[in-house]
Amino acid sequence: MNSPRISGIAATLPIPDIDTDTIIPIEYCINRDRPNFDVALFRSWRYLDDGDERPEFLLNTDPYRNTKILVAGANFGCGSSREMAVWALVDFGIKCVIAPSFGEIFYDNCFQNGLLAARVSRSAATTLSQAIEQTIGLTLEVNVSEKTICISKSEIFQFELDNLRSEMLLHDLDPVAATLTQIDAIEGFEKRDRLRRPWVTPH
Amino acid sequence: MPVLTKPKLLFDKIWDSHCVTNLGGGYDLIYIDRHMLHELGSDVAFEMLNQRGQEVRRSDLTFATHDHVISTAPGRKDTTWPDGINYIKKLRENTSRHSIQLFDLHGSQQGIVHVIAPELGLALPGTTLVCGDSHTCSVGAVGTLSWGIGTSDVAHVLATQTLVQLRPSVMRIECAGRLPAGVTAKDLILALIGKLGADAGTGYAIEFCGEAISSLSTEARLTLCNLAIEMGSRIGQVAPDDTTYEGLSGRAFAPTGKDWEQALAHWKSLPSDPGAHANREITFYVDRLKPQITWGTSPAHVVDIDGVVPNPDDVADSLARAGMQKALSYMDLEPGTRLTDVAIDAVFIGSCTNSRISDLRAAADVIKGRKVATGVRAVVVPGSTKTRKQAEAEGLNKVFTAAGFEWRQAGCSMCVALNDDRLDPGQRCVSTSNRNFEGRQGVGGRTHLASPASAAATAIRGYITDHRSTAK
Repeated sequence: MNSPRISGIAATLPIPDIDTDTIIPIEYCINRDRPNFDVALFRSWRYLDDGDERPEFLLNTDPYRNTKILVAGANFGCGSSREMAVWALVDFGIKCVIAPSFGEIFYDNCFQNGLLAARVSRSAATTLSQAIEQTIGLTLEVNVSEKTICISKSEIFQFELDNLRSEMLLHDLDPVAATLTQIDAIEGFEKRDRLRRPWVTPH
Repeated sequence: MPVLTKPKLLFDKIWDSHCVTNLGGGYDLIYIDRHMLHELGSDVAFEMLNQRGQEVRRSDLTFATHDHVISTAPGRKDTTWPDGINYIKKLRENTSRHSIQLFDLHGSQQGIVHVIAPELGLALPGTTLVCGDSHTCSVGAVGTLSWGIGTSDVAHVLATQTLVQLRPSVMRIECAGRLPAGVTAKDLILALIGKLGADAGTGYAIEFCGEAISSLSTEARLTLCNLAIEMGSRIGQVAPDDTTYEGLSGRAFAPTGKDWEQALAHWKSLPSDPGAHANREITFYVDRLKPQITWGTSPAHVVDIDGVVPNPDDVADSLARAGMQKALSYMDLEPGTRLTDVAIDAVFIGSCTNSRISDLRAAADVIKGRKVATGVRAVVVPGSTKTRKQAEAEGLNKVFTAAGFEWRQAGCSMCVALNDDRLDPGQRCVSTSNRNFEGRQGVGGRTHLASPASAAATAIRGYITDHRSTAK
């Protein structure tokens, strides 16, 4: 079992609708292998066209090069289904993304890759962002089992996470293997369905 | 006594009939009737499958095409766009190894997945269809339950023909009234996203209904459902009706004979029952809708085409304001600017949103006998090879090329910018695609989303244009 605890430096990008094209532009998605997607993360925000870093971008400053936890505005990861967006975050070293809402396909992709996407209330996201902005190098403590994010002992926020996804994170579940334990049910469905809807199978 | 059953929504009928087993906690194991693959989204998924030594469970329900990382140049070859060579080749190898039908780059049935799925009769009412592409929601337009998935889930479907899915809630959007002349499904969906927000649909499957939807063609409904994901919903649907059935009849992979009769009987049982309620019901009046244009970097950043760039200071929410300010800076626009005063460098007519024959006809109607403004690059990319040939048979290609448009081969092209169809940094484009995100059409490129008629009128004038103002 993996540790339920994620602890580390938190950065904030308090903007809504950060899309997966922004997280990783499409030209960095092709002809590239894991774990080399880190250089592509927030490519246009992090780098100038000639490849030099933009010094003003948060993740290019210390201590945020070691960011483990990212707090963002609502609808983080909206847009394209590219799983490379999650790979870029993971390859950079991000273990947890916190936002009031997530693009749905991105959200699913996170848990396929051991990345915690923690859904919090808008007010919690705002408070977390402000705390991060006020204290350089602020460390957050996240607990997957307890579904909590702690700034300090007195400032604790709850996040939403269902049991299946928490199990995926804590036990590195292999979803394909898990589904294949249902193979009898799948075969039974196909057998019944062939009689019920013979027109579905193309000829 | 008659058996009383609870009234059900279109979504519930399809979901329930595809539930292999309930997994608890709101999750179901859902059977997948159609799995569409393209060269970009399937590449690593096949690697995952091959690494496990697994076979494709139902290769007869799996179909593939080349659309994303390909050249759209006339006379294109495998090698025309070097970055795509490997992807084109590997999709051929993987589909051949697993006996999957491939609509090859050079074949007559090739095209953008969401264009060919309905065109070939692969997307059918009452079936489930998935693809490793977020705009798979498009084909909900024919009453399919369809959604986009990531690479890991593509591998999951290849191996099991099922997906573990959390059952979404349902939002029903009734579009009341009739769209005014010159106002399209694209304008309707952009206006809805602007009104409701880019994440209003998160957690929901959306059913579009009402008089304005019933009177739309299948192609227009495909445009409408294409942008469900831009409202946050993976699933957009329109109940099948006579328009749907007429459109499907005779398609290459549509059922025939006795199968068609049986399918039709089933399809007619699919529309939401009277008395069935969605978790969220919305009514939107369309009678006074105008053509829409986006000004920012989210599809929700949209205004009437005769409107002005909004002022972030007018918005109370500080995060939304920050997002708007960032968008204005990226788009190099000032609040209060009239959109029709904004000059453009390029026009793109294409993508899974607006590249079907009716879209090309609408654009050609505006362009006929006119010339593209000096200095504007104008590009038309049909959504499928069949669409291209149909358009050529109608002479539309000549209308476009005579006006100064490039007439290209089918593919995703300047919507995904994975080939040389892209903007240069700082260039501004009116595009019929679905995403105006930063860099979507090329690093530093600026995108304004609009309908084909608006895009065509803009190409002619060189400024964002309300096509109704230039009607002949």
